[in-house]
Amino acid sequence: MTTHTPVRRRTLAAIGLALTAAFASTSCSAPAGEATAPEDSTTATGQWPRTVENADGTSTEIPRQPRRIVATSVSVTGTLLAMNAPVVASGSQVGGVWFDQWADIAEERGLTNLWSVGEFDLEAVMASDPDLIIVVTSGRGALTDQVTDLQSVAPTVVIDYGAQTWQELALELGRATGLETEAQRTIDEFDALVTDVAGAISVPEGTANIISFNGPGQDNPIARGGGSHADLLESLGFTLEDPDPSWHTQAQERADFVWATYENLLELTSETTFILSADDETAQGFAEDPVLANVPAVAAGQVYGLGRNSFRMDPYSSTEVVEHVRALFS
Amino acid sequence: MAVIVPTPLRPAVDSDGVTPRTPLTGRRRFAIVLAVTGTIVTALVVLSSLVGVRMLAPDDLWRALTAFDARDDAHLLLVNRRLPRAALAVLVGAALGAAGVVMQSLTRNPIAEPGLLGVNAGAAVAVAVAVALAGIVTPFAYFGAALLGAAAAGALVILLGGVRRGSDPVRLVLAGAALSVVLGALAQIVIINGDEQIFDRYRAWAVGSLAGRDLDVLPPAAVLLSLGLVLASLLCRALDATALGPEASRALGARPALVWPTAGLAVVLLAGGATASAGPIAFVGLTAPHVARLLVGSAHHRMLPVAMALGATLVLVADTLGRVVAPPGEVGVGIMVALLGGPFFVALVRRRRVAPL
Repeated sequence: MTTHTPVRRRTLAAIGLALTAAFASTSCSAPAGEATAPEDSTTATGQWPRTVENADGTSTEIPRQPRRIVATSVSVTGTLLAMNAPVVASGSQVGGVWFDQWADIAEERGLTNLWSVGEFDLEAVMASDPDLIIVVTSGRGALTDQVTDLQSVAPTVVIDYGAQTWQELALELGRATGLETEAQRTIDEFDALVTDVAGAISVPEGTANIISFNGPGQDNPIARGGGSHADLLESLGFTLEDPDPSWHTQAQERADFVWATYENLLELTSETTFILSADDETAQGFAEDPVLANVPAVAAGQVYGLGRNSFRMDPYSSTEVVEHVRALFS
Repeated sequence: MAVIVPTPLRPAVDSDGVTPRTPLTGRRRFAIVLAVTGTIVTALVVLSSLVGVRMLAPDDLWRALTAFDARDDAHLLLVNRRLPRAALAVLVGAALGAAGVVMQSLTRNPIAEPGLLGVNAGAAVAVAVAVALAGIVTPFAYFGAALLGAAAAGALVILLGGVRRGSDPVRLVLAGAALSVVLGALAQIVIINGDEQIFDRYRAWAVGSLAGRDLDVLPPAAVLLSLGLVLASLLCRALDATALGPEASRALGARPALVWPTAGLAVVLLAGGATASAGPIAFVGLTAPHVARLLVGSAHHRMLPVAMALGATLVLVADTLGRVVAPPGEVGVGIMVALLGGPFFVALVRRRRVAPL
């Protein structure tokens, strides 16, 4: 875990500003020693400068292939790391930590921790000396009001990751960073893994469902067909039970999950249940609930965790989920 | 149930403080009110256990109790969730009603209610810290945290209120209000800096809800709240005297140095236990004693059981209605009580029928 103190941030900001001024005056690009260059195979692909469309309807011109990318939200960082993008700094989760599924890789690549989600510090961005900044429009990491400030530091791309799968996000990031080949390679490798695992496992009889089990007194989101979680299990050979949309308790309908009350869980019909954000041990909380004893998956003894990191799907967590399913059913 | 003991400490002006009544009339009235409210509570327990996302038939309840079948989802639901939830509603409502009686008499303040002693705020900050820092998820852990926080805040308010220097209602209420504000701000700071999941969990607790607190929370809640109710009923005579004011109560032989800490302990057990069980629920502790006073007068051995029955009624009605107003979702009992109790209390005040203490 890497965290910044304000003092350290200011010092870095000062150094960053000084370096920027020094290099700007000598018409140099980013400091050569500090830059994390993209891998040779992907260097300078495509045409530069290029213009990308932003999620807020504007467009951004990127003069040359980015060599120092800053992601203001932790949500897209996993995908950037997976496609070997030269990401040098990123916002982190609450408590200043990375997502578990790629924390080791972030540490290994010396990723600078800008701030915990919900915070913003322009000086920290400047100190990272970016040549591309990526901002998101959804979640607590959204910084749509700060785009103008960020644009004064470096070209800034606005992404809506909430409305797309990590594969679509990877392709979008690939266009902005000139790493289309890397993005496609990441997707292809994952698809190959899915095909491999789908062929290696014996899928249990009947249908399956995916539940974020919170117990009585709270809503229990159930994955809908067409959502990224359902899609992933279907690509592994499972047939997903689509929950009744009338169970939804929230004002806004969602395409990926139905927020169901605890008592509606009694209506589930699948023989297999996967519990979101849980390992197999934690998932047994569902199986041991006294009221749910007659739910088919519980009666069949087929309640499994989908993995502790399964809530947020990125290349790393999706791979964890697929490997876990392989371990369960092969 | 409080034992009816003829006592010289009872105020000379009986019942509703307006019409003097003979003891016999008062006793009969009390018996009738208690029988009616008791019947209402029983009927509401049955109704509450049948209402929910899945509506059940009275026959389901009968068979669940007489011929339980573990293969029947309705039976599982009734025995494991609905009935314990109704029982918890009765306990919580009764405890809040009793806590309100004790607080109003002790502070001689007609708008005193359990939240005023810092109990809710103490519980809230403890739950916030526990959720954010320890990541607690089980209702039982909420219960423990809330109870500790409520007890600590209650004790602090009693200490700050200068209970050692005698009973000063204004000082106590001020201490409670001040501490509530400070603790409330502290809880907000902790929660705002937490992630969305922490915020959601805290919010689910903070709106006041009986959902999902049933099986884990019921046994410890039953023990604590019963203790508090016993303690409150033992205080009836002393509270009769205290309600007359410090001079009169001392003249009647009451011992504030003993009464205040005992009553404080009763309030912490009752209000703290109720808040720990169901989250902060306002108005019950405020309204139930007033209605009880209107119905059976201000003698505590009559007012207390009636306030308990009325508190249970209010919480049961609120909890049951909360399950049908916005299906398939639920509205927390804390919100429903405020919706029901708020206008009721305003009407009560506007009719100038708030009986003097």
